[in-house]
Amino acid sequence: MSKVILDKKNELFEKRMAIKIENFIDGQFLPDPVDPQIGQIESYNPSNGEINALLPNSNVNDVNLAANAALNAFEKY
Amino acid sequence: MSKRQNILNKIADIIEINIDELAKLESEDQGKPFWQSKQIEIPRCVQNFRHFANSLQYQSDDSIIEPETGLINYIVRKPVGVIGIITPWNLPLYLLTFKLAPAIAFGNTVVAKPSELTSVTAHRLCSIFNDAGLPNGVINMVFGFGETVGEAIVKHPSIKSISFTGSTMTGGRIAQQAAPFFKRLSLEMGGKNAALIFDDINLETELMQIAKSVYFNSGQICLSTSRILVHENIYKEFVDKFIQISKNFIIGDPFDNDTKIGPMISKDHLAKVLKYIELAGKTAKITYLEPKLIQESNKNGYFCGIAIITDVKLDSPLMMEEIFGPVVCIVPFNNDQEVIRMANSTSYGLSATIWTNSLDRMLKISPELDAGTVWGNCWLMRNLNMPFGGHKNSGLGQESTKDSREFYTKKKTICIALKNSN
Repeated sequence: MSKVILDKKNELFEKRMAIKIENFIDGQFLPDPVDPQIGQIESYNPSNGEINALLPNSNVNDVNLAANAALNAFEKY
Repeated sequence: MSKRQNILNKIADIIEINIDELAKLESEDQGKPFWQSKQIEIPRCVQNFRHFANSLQYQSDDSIIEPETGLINYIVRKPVGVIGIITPWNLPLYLLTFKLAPAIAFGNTVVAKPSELTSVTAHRLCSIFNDAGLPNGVINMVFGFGETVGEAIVKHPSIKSISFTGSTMTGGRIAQQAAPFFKRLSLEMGGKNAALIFDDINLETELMQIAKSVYFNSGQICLSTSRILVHENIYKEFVDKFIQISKNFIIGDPFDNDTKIGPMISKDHLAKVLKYIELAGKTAKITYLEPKLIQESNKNGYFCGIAIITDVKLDSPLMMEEIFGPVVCIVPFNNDQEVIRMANSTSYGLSATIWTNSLDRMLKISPELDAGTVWGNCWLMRNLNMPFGGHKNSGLGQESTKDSREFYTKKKTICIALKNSN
């Protein structure tokens, strides 16, 4: 998704919306971490200081989900 | 096994088809020049998967037959189980795939945490796993901070091995946390790498390579040259010419074709590098090259100029601590014994480069350097079949076709007695 805006010099440039990063567990992208209330992490584009991506502020509960998925997958892989 | 091989090759193929997109994402996320992502780093991701996929069929193990005692001994290998993979922000997709590829090639499954500073290409890679038909749950990614997600991975009782690339300080914390669980550890950490410049080299032809070893990726590589030790006979000439050639390393926007090096990864990291530059201003002599071609659109970027430091004490933090930016110290030496001692004087031991036309000197000095990789008249040449890993505080363990196999499998000896045929 992108948004076209005009800057002070009236030059057109495209400003991309921040990418929403989602945990990838058991082959699925999970829209929210186990505890979404903890919030998101901002990741910046170092060449201009703008927000480039938003990450889930995951914790041990997400790791537990992932580890269980990995354990189950290991049996069959 | 050949099903796994097919999937890994499919992953490689899909990455290859999407090189442009992945390179763009990597450069927007990390700040490195687009040409670098497109021509060097993303192609190496392809190579990582292909290499480990295709080396599987050529591997074998020892067996010993003892006719007198009537015993057959052989080795059986199994995957370890769930591997925890924690990767850094400097070469994001390249370093992540270098661990993912062998982990799953050998039948393990994975919980990975890429750096929270650069998670975009890792996230994109996940849809490639689905497209390639990697079974659900074989690779899982949890995004977040090291203190929460990373620590949870290290301490999880079902995650049996941890493969980490990052700072020595974090590596130490991981080793402490993993110790009570007797987890396998592969730790690839920092460096304070020396380039040894002898007076028989042709400066005209070699200087650019030496400079690249300092500035590539804006000096944000564990293998970056950060100390240049120059024979006193050519010291002054070297410093002058090095400063001149450094002006070629144009700092700018990743998508500008003239850009050779990009910004620092973050505000925090820029502040850290600038502190060292400030220290150099107070305690040594510094030549600082300002970034000149920063556009209006980059004014809020984390750009750092080039700092060339001379007249610095050998035990200064500038000579001992990893700075991880476009900052280099250049000091003279007089003889072989002295330069070897200087090269080995830090707590790190990741890599070193020797620049000389003398074969004798090259062969004599290279084994004396306390480093996991010593490059002669080159830098960053990597053959995946050769062991890679640091000495001292730079690393624990090695990675390569053979070494990665050792880390990502567990072996057992089967010893069977044959019945007497009399």
